Amino acid sequence: MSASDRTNEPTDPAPRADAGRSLHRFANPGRFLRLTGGWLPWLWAAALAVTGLGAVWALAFSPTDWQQGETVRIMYVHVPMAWLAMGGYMGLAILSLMSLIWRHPLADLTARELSPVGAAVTALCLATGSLWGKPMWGTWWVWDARLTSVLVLFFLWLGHAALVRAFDDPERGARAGAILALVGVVNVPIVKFSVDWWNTLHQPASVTRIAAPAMHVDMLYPLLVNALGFSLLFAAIVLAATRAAVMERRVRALQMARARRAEAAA
Amino acid sequence: MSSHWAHILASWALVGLAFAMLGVGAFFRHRAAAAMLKRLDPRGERDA
Repeated sequence: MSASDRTNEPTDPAPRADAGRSLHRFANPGRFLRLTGGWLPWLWAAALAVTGLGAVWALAFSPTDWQQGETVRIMYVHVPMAWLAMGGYMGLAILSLMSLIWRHPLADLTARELSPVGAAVTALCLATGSLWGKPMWGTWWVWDARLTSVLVLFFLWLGHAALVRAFDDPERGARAGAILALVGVVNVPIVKFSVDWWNTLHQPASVTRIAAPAMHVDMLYPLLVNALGFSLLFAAIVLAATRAAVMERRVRALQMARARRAEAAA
Repeated sequence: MSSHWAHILASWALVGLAFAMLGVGAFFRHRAAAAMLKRLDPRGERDA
């Protein structure tokens, strides 16, 4: 049975393990659409409100840096993109694990819809980093460990997006993509700790570290608001795309059923 | 406008445009799929 057939099952599939039992409540596409249909407008509204607030705060009211001057305002988009690129990839790895262990059909669909958005935020992380690097370092790009490992992360996102779409059978594509995502997860700690393990031009962590953040709250708070806003926007985009994919599969199944009925009647 | 502000605005514009494109794309794809499902199956109206 293919993944597209499984998403059209009218009832919950039998759970394969206790841990997966509650997750299988969401495996029914009708239930998933009903549950998330109420959340989505609120998610869009919250995402737009928080992102708008974060943009105004970062561009107009946050202080300049004593060393970087105004250019520090790039941090408020660059850092959230970096966090989303890495956090999103961890999400992709969890979805891949759910797909391989419990054959959760919505995990396949969500992973498929997640990877193009993940590739986009990783590309934005690289582009904004480059735009920040030129005035601060005097160069758009260096092959240091942080930048190179993020470039590898971008290729992993792109590879997943391409691989899951490369098979005629969506279930085979999902399985190949899940294996790639799980192999690629080894790159996430390399990205995170590259600045500690190697001598890099990129600065070490100043927020996500064991000690207290090495950043003044006047910059930390707008950064966290922007990170929250972009995370909500990211979640809204992925949820809307996943819901659309579920509905498109139902539409295809209904169209095929109609065609079969018409053929039988003829 | 200083070159530093050009870099800041380019970064924000790039991120804003990319998220706007992704968001608008997802929104309209969702709306089109919901409308199609509603047309084909009244049960879809409840779900979507």
